[in-house]
Amino acid sequence: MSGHTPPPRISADEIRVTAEMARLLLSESDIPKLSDELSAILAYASSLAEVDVTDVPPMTHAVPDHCRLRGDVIEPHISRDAALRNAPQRESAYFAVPAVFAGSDEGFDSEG
Amino acid sequence: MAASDEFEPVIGLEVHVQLATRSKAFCGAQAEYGGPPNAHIDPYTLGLPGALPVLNHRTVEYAIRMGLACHCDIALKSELSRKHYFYPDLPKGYQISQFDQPICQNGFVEFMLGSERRRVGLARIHIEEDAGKNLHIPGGRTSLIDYNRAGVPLIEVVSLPEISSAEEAGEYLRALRQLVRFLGISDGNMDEGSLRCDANVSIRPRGSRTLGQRTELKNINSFKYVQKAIEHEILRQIDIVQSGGRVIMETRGWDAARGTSRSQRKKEEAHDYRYLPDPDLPPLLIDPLWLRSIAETLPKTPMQRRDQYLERLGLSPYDASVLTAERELCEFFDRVLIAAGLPPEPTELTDAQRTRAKQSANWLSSELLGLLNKDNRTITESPVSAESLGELVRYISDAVISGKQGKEVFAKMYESRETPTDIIERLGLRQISDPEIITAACRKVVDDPAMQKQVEKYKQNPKLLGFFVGKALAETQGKARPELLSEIMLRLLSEK
Repeated sequence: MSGHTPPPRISADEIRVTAEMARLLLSESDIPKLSDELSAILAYASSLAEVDVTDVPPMTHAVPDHCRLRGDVIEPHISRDAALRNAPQRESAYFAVPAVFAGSDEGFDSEG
Repeated sequence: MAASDEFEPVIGLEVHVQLATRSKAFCGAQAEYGGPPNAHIDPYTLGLPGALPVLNHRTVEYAIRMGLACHCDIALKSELSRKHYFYPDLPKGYQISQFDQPICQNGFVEFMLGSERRRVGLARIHIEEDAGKNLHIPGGRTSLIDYNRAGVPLIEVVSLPEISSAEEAGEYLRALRQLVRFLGISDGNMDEGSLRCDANVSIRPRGSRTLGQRTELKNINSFKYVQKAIEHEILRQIDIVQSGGRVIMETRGWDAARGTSRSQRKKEEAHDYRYLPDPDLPPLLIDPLWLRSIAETLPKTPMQRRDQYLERLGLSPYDASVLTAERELCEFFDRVLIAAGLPPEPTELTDAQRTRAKQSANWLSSELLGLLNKDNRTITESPVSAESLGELVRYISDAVISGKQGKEVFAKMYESRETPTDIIERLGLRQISDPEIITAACRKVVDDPAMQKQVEKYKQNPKLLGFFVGKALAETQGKARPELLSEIMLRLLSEK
């Protein structure tokens, strides 16, 4: 693609949203610096947009391979104690985490 | 429920089906439901650094089975993607799913809504992995996590917004459950979470072509509540619109205990899942030969069975739906038909054979299922084998025993597990159908010198036929086929 224009700057609000989604705690003073840095990174990467890719199929992996499948067999597990040994907190056989959805006892299991 | 005269609901369902594989989708940990907490875990399940996913071939095979049974286009190349979100039940911080290139697209599911055949289109079916389970202790400061379920393979079946009532949504879901059970890819057990349903619900003025603002209902985890939750949501939306408000896009959780739903997440907080092709998993390519072998060994669907029962066997719609409730029942019925002497598919049946097929269906659905239900047994626990039941039908149909004797024999079969042949022999029930034996018995009566006076009387009074039939029947200990015997007797008397 020719005649490409550099991407717009990453705004302070976009930084805040991105940090929120990545669960990063930023102080307000971090934001201008990050905004500058990320904008520069994006501008650098956007030079790729100058390449004409009209007839090139999208590529998602660098290695030309396909997904290998395994047989449906049960393989060795790790013991519960070994698994729980590194847990910051455990309760009997469970991993324990700070209460999710405080004040709610609903089975809001997962996003998927 | 008629939602209202003014509005019509538009419903789409997203159904997660847990696949009945032995091991998990991307690792060799056990996939079986339950077990002590955190027993079915390995480094991949826990998202430990360095653990890499390797896709279970049976996960793919089961997804393809479902796709074929739902008339989908199967993608020979699809992509596995990461869906990111933070939640304690997801140790890796992302779920492996499929995004823009799912393994199955388009297609439809067919089912009966009352006496009407309905078809609901599908957008897609894709493969993904399940998350772990959170246990929330009411009022507690911690939540407990069990990762046994994390990584268990799922398919998500996404319908188009083509369902137009809560009742239809319920039937669609029942049809999916029946289908996955017939295909042998899942037990479809909603209580154990093998089948989970989210519903997208919107309303629009009746007859309108545009879609209204939808809400997503989560957490409808029992058949009992699917209809209730959707009905409730339809009425809630109608209420909002009629009182001048606007439905907002949100996720609502169904609260079965209170019989109501609650907002869980508004649009502003909507997640951006940052989907990206999983760098650990190259594109999933399906060998066309493999696809063909899956198609060739695909079990029949309930609707295919139904059509076969209606068209080939001439069964009633009611019998067809009773017999297609479970795959085991269909397979039992198939064996009954063979044992009853009917040719296997695809041979067309004669009228007499169709009658025999209907008799077989009756013996199975009213007699055997009746007793099994009463005793709380399933067809696989039946004391009467399919072969025995077919044999019994054949004996009755060939007039070896009468229908009435059949019931007696059947009761004994159910009690003692004996074959009908053994019971008929033991009780000496076998009817005599041999014309020679019957003719001999008849001759003995009409040639008896002591009978000649009656024979003369018969010539004046044909009503006496019954008298001679009775005498001859007694000569055979009551075992001669009555119709045949009276036919022969009539001929002998007319020759006198």
